Formats: sequence, structure tokens, C-alpha cells
Amino acid sequence: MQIEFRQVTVVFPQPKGGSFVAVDGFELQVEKGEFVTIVGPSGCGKSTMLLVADGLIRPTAGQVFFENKLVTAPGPDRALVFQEFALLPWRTVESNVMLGLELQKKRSPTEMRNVVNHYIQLVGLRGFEHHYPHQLSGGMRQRVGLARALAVNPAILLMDEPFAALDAQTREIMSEELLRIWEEDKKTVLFVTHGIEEAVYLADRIVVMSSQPGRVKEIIRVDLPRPRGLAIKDDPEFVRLRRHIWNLLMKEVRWQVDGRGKTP
Amino acid sequence: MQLNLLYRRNESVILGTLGLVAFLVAWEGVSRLEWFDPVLISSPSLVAVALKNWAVSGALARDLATSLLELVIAFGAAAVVGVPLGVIMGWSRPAEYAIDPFIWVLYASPTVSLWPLFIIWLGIGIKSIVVLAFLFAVVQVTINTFAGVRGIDPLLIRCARSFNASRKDLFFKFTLPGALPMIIAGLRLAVGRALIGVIIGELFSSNAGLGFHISYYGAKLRFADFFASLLVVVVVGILATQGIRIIESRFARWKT
Amino acid sequence: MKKQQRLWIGGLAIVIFLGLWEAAMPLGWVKVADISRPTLVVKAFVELTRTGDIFHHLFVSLKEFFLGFALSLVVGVPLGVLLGRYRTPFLFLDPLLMAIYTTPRVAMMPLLVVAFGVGFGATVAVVFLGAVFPILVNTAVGVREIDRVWIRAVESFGGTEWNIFTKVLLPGSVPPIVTGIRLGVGRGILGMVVGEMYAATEGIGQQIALYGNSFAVSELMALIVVVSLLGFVFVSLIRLVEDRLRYRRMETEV
Repeated sequence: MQIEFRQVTVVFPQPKGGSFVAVDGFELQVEKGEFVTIVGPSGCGKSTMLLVADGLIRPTAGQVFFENKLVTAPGPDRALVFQEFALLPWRTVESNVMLGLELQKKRSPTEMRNVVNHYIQLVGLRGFEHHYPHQLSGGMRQRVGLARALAVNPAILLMDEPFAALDAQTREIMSEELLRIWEEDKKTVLFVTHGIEEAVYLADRIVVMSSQPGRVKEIIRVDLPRPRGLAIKDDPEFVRLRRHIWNLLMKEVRWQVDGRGKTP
Repeated sequence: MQLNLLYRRNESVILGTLGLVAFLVAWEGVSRLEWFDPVLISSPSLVAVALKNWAVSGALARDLATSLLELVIAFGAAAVVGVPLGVIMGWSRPAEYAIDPFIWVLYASPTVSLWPLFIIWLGIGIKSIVVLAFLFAVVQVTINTFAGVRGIDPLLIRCARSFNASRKDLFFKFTLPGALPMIIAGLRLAVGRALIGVIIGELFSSNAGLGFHISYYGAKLRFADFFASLLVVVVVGILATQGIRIIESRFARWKT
Repeated sequence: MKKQQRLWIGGLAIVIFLGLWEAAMPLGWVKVADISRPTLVVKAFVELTRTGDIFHHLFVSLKEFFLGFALSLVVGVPLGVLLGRYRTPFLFLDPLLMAIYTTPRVAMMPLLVVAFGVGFGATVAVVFLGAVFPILVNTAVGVREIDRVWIRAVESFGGTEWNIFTKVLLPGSVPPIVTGIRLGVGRGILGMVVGEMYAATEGIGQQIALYGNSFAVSELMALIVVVSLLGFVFVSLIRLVEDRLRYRRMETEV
């Protein structure tokens, strides 16, 4: 077992007084090399869980363990990919991908450049090394973000709704791309998303969360074969899984839209 | 817990006051300990005494009245001239192109250096001071008004046109209200600049007013009185600016 | 098209103004000694440059300016970053800074002269006080407006506070800092002139006061033109830098 969440609870104090329970009693064990997606409605705390796993947020209660060591701060074994890309606009693609490596200071400049170029090529951005983020499309920017995370060779990839800012078609292509890249070295991945299809398509296991407070509703195994092309979305098993999760979430979402349907 | 909440809501005021108090205490301390010559740096207590004397003698009221009168006239004139000018510039491009160079010159050149000229033309006294302060302020008002009028969201204009608004309606119902926040902000900045103009004018040539008081005691190296007059100037500036800020929040509430 | 119109109409307005100014005396509206005329101002300008005196004064003034401005950068930028990043020190210092900012620098002259010496010292101080505030405020605001997500990105890779400072805050706030510099230059030049007008034995400001008090209107105008040109050149140069930066970065929301 590589990552373990034990009864993780996160409570945020409100500026005007009172507190907000983002996540309550989150439990999860992730094996090495697993691709786990976390799916749920807005406000269910899924992004919060990722930040806790990365050590950027301390849980109010409970712990996260990485290879049996308590997680208290960000480290070289975990890397985050952001929904908003988080690229530094004054740096070129090459320079952005190098950011993580720079901060870890473990390698010489030449080594770093080699690593960077390898990953730029892997994500399909060869030739764009000296472009600036504003010259790239959304999908390309996210590839840079991915390359940056991969470059530090983390044991775990933490992806926070990475395709949410992209248009629908780009999103589909990117998820296929992601699997292609992932197949290279099969890192452990925790992937947070809104999209049920995306969650099923990418995952070995899916964690379905309810919201307010954020809790694990169900954990589902996905037994679809790999490697998976986009065509698998028409597979009956895929459709069954998708429907199942949709039913689980429907009550949550309806409650958010018109306040009906959720039993306390 | 309640205390925590109270603190969080008023954090800026609390910390700001603390900072000010800390500064005053340090100043008093440095003066008493004579790390620097107390005659030069004075101290809060000495300044307070000087202020009291100034007030009690009635001179403060007189100096204040003089400066405030000059300020009000200069600022009023700046508003009366600057706002229509800015509106004209914003509304008509040829007007903008024609007037802009002069605004630029006034803005970029050190208006202060024209002071000796004003003395020549208008003589020593209230007239030249008011004109100087007026020039300081009017540029600010004009520029802000212009920006306000020009910066109206084109989408709103399009909306107005689609409802067949007349030119008059367009101006009074859309452009002017929309420009109001910028205009008032310009007035707020201008009052500060007018005050500076008044002080500078009085500094260089006058026998009454806050600026005169500053230069008189400064020249005599009586720094307690000097600081007292600086204090009064700062307070006047803050009050005037805050006053307009209040108006600003009334009229510009929608534009956070 | 618009740009051409702007040049033509603006130019025409200037020409009409100069024409009226030039003609005011012959038309008997005012005495020349009082307001001079463009041709006399040009003559005075030429004369000043010919005798070369003006260059000496300009040199002195610029020395004061650059020293004061350099100081304002050295103080303004780091302090601005600090105040932008950490809210508490900012709230502490705010009233004090506001008080200093609202005080007309001219009013502080007696104190500055005593503290830093007549002429050079006091003028440098006035330039500093003029330039430091726009730089400080713009830096602080720039830092505060930096997208939090960039800071989070650096944190997620294990970056320290220093890393955040050097890799995000400083590079990220360069455009606002340059804007602050542009605003500071104007106030700095003003400070330079005012400081010298009040208490100096050389420098452009002192010359302005000299000619002003001697009622040498043409020379006075010529000097004012010189100072304005100086300001214009400096600000234009900085504008160029600003534009280049904006092009290179094209800060977009994502």
C-alpha cells in the first residue's frame, strides 16, 4: 500500500465566525501503480483531499501516510497538476517544466535540461520549448503542467481537475493522451474530476464522494481492459458503471440545484 | 472566541492604531534619551504643547481659516472648470485632440516653477496662491473626468442605442452616472493636490495660513511648532480626502 | 487614421496657442516683460545652451535625482514586496506611510535641510520621498495581486518562502514595479526642482528660482521647458520598457 488516508477530516474556519466542514472521515488505501479517480459534485472536498495528500493542507483530524510515513509537507515523491495550469507566464515552456527540478536542486543544469526535453517530447510538445504560455492553447498549457509534474519523477501524481478548464473535445483527447503517457511508467495517480465519464474512462478504481460534508459514498472497481481507447466508452460495462455512478450522484446534484432529494 | 472575532473584523484599525502609537512612543523615547538632538527632532509631548499654544492664542483658527478659504476657492474652481472640460474632452474626439497637449504640458511640467511668474502677474497674496492650487488640482479633475467619460463600458452604450436613447438621454442617464465614480475619485485626488498647492504658495510668500506657519517656524528652527503645523496640514488633508471618500462610497457603491 | 487626426488637431491647437502668445504683445494685450513670447523663449534657450552654464546645473540636478531615485528603489522594492506579501506589517505601517505621503514635501524642507544639509542632501531626500511611494505602493499591490496558484505551484514542489520570493513574487511583479518607477520618476523630478528651488546653490531648480526672482521671464520659461522635456524623455523611455514587458508576458488569466 502506497498511500493511506485514515479518517481524514478537514474543517475550515469562516471569516465571519463559525466553521465549514469540507471533508469528514475520508478513508482510502491506494496501491502502487493504481490509477484512482475521485468524483463528486462541487464542494465535496475532493480537491481538498488532494491538497492534504500533497501536504499543502494539514487535516484537522486524521492522517495521510505515504509508504508508511506521515505526510506533513510537500515532498519530492508527490507532484501536483493544477486545474488552472499554474504556469509562470514570464517563463518559456522549457523553463516552466524545469521549475520543479530547480526547486529540488538535485541535478546539474545539463541533467535537468535533458530530463526536461525528454518530458516535453513525451507530452507531445517538441518544438515549443521556447514558446511562452500565452502563445499556447489550453490543452498545450496543461501538457506543460503535466510535463512539469512528471519531470521531478514523483512516485505519485496528484491531478486536480486538470482538464476542467478545457473545452469538451480537447478534454476527451487529453484524457486519451494522459493514459498514453501514463502507460509509459504507470505511476500511481490520484485524479480528481467532476466528470463521470472521465472518471470511469481513466480509472482502476473510482471513489465517489458526497458533499457537505465531503464523505466517501462508495468505492468502485473498474475492470475494463487496458490500454483503453476512447471507443471503450460504448462498451456495455462502461455504460453500466457510468449509470451507476450517476445514480449515486444524482441525489447530491439535485439537492444542490433545487434543494430536493437529499435525506439528512 | 468573541475577542478573536472582534479582532478579525477590525484588524486594520487595530493594527494601524498600534503602529501609530508605537511610532509615537518610540519618537518620545528617542527624544528623551537624547539619541538625537531633541531640539531638532522634538517629541510628541513638545509638539502637543506647541499645538495647544497655537490653538489657545487664536492664531490656529486664523491660519486654518486662511488656508481653508484658499483651498475651497481653488478646489471649487478646479471642479467647476475641470469636470466640464473633462466631459467635453471625453465626449468629442476633436476636443480631446485639441486640449490634450495642454493638459499634458500642465501635467508633465513642474507647475511649481511657475510660481515666480504668478508673483509677477498677480502679486504676493491670496490670488497667486489660489491660482497655483487651482492649477495643481484642475489637471487631476480633468484627466479623471475624461477617463470616466471615455471609459464607459461600450456594451452599455450599445444597449442604450438599441433602446433608441436620444443623445441627451445617453449622456445624462448612461454616460454621466457611469463616469461618476471616476469623477469623484478625481475630485478626491484633486483636493489633496490643491492643499499641497495652497501650502506651497503660502510657504514661499505669505504672512498667514498653515504654510506660512510652517516656513516661519522652520526657518527659526522651532521644530515643535513646525511639526505641529505639519500635523494640522496632514489632518486637514486626511479629513478633506476622507470626506470625499464618503461621498464616493455613496455614489459609487456599485463599482467595487 | 485616428492617430493622424490627433496629431493634426493637437498640432493645430498648439500652433494657434503659440501664435496668440507671440502676438499678444504687438497687439497690445500685455507687456512682453510679463509673459514673454515663444521667440524670446527660444532665444533664451539657445543662449543658455551656448554659455554652457546650464549643462553644469543639469549635471548637478541629475546627480541628485539619480541618487535619490536609486535609494527609493533600494528601499521601495524590498519593502513593497514585504508589505505586499505579509498583511500585518502593512496594516501597522499604513497610517504612518499615509501621513508621510500626504505631507507636501515642500513643507518638510526646513527639516530636511537641517537633517541632510542644504542643497545636495536635502534635494536627494526630496527626490527619494517623491519616488519611493509610487514604487512602494505599486510593488505591494503587484505582489498582492499575484495569482495565488503560482505560489501554490512552487509550494507543491517543496519550495521555501525564499523560493516563492525569487521565483514568483519578484518576476511576477516586475510590470507593476516598472509602472511604479514611471510614476515615481515624475514625482522625483518634481522633488528635484522643488528641493533646489527652496534651498540650493546650484542645479536646475535653483536656476529657476534665480531667474524667477529676477523676473527674467524668458529664461524661466526656457528652463521650465528643459525640465519638462527631461521628464518627458525619462517617462517615455520607461513606457517603452513597459510595453516590451507587456508584449513578452501577455498575462492572461490562465
